[in-house]
Amino acid sequence: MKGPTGWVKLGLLVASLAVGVALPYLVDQFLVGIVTLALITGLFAMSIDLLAGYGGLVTLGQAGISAAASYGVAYMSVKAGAGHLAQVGVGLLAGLIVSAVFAVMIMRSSGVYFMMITLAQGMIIWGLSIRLTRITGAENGLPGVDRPEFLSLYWQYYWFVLAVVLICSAMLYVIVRSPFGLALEGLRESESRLLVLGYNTSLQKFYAFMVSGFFATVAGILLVYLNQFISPSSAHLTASALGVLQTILGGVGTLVGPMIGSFIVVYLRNVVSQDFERWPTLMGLLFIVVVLFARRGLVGELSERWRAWLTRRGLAVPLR
Amino acid sequence: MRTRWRSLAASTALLALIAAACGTPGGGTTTTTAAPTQTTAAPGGETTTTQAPTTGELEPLRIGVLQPLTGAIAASGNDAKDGWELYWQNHPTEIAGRKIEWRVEDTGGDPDTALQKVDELVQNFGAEIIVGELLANVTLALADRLADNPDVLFVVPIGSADDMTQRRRDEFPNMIRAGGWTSSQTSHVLGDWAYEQGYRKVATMCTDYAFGHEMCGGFVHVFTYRGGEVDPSQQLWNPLGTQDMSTYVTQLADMDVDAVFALQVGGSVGDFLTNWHDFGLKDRIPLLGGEVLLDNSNIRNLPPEVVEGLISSGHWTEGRDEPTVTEFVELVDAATGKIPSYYVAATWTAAQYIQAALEALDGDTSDKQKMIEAMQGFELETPFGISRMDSYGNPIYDIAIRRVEVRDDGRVWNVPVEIYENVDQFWPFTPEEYLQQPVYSREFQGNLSVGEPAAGG
Repeated sequence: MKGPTGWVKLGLLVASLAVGVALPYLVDQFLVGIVTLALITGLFAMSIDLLAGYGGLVTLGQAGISAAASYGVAYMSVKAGAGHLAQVGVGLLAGLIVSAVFAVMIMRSSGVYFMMITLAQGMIIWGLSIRLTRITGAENGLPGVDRPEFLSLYWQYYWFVLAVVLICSAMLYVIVRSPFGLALEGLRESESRLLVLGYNTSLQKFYAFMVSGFFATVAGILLVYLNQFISPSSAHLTASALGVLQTILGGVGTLVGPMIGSFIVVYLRNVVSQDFERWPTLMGLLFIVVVLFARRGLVGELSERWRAWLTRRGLAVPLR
Repeated sequence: MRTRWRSLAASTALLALIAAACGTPGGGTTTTTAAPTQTTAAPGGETTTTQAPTTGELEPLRIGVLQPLTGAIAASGNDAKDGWELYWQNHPTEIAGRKIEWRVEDTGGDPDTALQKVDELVQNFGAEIIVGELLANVTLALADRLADNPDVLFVVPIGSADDMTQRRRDEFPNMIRAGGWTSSQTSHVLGDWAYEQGYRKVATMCTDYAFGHEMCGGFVHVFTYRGGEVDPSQQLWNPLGTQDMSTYVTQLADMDVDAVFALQVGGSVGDFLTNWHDFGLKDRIPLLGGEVLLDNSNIRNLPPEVVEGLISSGHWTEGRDEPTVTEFVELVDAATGKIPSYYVAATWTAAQYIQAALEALDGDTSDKQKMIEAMQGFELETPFGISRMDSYGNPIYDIAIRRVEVRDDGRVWNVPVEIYENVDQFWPFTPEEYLQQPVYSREFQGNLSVGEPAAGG
C-alpha cells in the first residue's frame, strides 16, 4: 500500500464488493436485474477501454462481436436445441472467430481508418443478422434462450454474473499492467517509436483485438442469457457507440471508469426514464458536461484531482 | 482561479444532474396512489408478502403501457400514448370498485429495452395487464417473455405480426389483440378491390422487413388469387430506413403496369410520396397504399397536393361518417389539435376492451383466461366501427377502401370509398385453408393456391 491513495482504493473496493455480494438481500428483483445488466454492459465497455484507452484504438464495431457470441448461444439454444455447454461453446467460438477475422482486417490500420473499418465490421454483423433469417430470425430475433437450472432465478444469475465480471476485471487489470499492456500503451503514445524499438505493432494490434474480443464475447454470452433474447439491434452501431460513450463518460484508460459509466447509463435508461420522458436529453447534457469539464471522464478527473490535492499537501509526488 | 470556478460550476452541474437522477427510484410516480403489494423475495427462496390488500377496498388494477416514446418512431408512439391517456381522461378510472392505475414506459423501439421495461412493470409496478407495443418485432419479444406468466394479460393494439394470432397462436395463451389487427388483414381487401377496378398487372414497392413482407404478401396473394398478375421481378424491396426513394420511383416509372402497391414506414413515406408526385407519376399510375403509408400520422405532414386522391385500405378510416368515429375524431382533435392516426384509435380501443372486460367480470381480474374469453364475447362500438373477436383473438372489422381528401379546414384525411364488411384475418379464405400456407415473407408472397374463397365478404 502506497500512502493514502492505496487505502482509499482498497476501502472503495472492499465496500463495493460487500454491497455487490449482499445486493440481492438489500434491494428488490428489479434493481438486482438492473445491476446485473450494468455489470454486463460494464464488462463490454471495459473491453472497449482496453483498445481505446490503452491502445489508442477507438472501435465502433464491438457490439458486432458480442452480438455474434449472443447469436451463437441463441441459435444453439432455440433452433438446435443443444445443451448449455454446447451453447456456451458455440457462443465463444462465434465471438472468437469473428474477432479473429476482424483482427486480421484491422491489424495494419490506426486512427480514423481503424474507426471506420471497425464501424463497417460491426454493421456487417448487423446486416447478416437482418438477412440470415433462418439462423437469426431477422428483426424478430431469437426469443426463449433459457438459462441452466442452477442459474434460472434472478439472484442466482446475478451472483454468477458478478463472479464472472470480477474474474474478467481481475484479468484485465493484470493484462494492462503486464509487459503486453505497457507495450499497448506505447502503441497509443507513438507507434513509430515502438516500431523503431523492434516491436511488431501489427501483431500487437492483432493480439490486443483478440483479447478485447474475448471479453466482448463473454459479455455477449452473459447478456443473451440475461435478456433471454437477441435481435439485430444488439449488433447495431448504436450499441457499439453506447459502449464507447460509457467508456468516455467514466474515463478512458481507467478500466473502472467504463464500469461506472455503464452504471450511470443503465440507470438513466431504465430507472430515470420511468419518470422522465426526456431522459436522452439528460444523457446528452451529462455527456456535454463531462466532455467540457472532465475530459478524462468521471473517474479520470476524480483521481487526477485527488492526486493534485495530495501533492499540494506533500503526501504524494506528482506523477509527471 | 478561473479553472477553479469552472470546475466548481462543473461539479455543481454534475451533482445536480446526478441528484436529479437519484431522486427517482420508488419516488412518487404520478399515477401510483397506493403502495403496491411489497413482495420481497429473499435469496434462498422464501417469499414474504408484507402488505395485504386493505379490507373493504379492492386492489387497484395496474396496467403497464409500453410504447416507443423516443427514437425513430417516437411520433407514432406518442400518438399511441395519447389515445390511451385520452380514453381515461374521458372515462371513469374506477370500474367495479377497482381503481385503474397505469404507467407508460418508453421502449425506444428496441426489443432489449422493452424486455427490461416489461420486467420492471410486472415485478416492480405490479402490472396485471401490459399494453404494447408498436413494432412487430418488439411485440413478439414481449409476447414471448410474457407467455410464461399466466398472471399477466398481454393486450396488443398495434403490433401486427401475422403469426401471433395465426400459426403461433398457441404459444401466447395470455395474449389478445384488443383494438389490434394483423398486417395482411387490410391488404387482402385491397387485392380484391384492385382486381375489381380492372387492374391486371401490378408492381409492388415495399419495405424489406417482416411487416412489409406481410402487408405486401396480403395484397399480392388475394390479387393473384383473383386472377391478377404480379411479376416477382417487379416486386421492389427497399431496406428499412431508406432515405432517398427516387431511384426506386424511377424504376417504377419504367414498368408497364396498371397500378403500384406501396408500403413504406417512417421517414421513407414522405420521401416516397413526394417523389411519386414530383416525378409526375401521381396522375399517370394509380397508387394503392398499404394502410400505414397513408395513415393520418404520415399524410398530415405532407402538402395536400402530394397525397390528395390517393387510395389505400384500412381498418381505421378517420373520415368515416359514423357517430362513433366522428365523435372520436372531434374529441382527439380538440385535445391534441391533430386528426387522429390509427395509433390513437388503437390504444383507445384497447382501453375500451379492458373497461368492458372489467365490468363484465365485476372487477375480478384474477383469471386472465376469463378476461380473454370475456373480450372475445363482446361486440363493441369502437372508433374502428363495430369490433368483434375471432376465436384466434384477432378483431373482425369492416375494412374500408379509403381515399385521401382535403377537408374544408385545409387538412387531409381518409374517407371511405367502399366498405368490405366483417373482414377477419383470413378473408377471403377459411382459417383451415389459410393456415396451411406459410407466413408471408420475401420468398413467399402467396402464390400457392389455397382453395375456394369462403362464403361472404
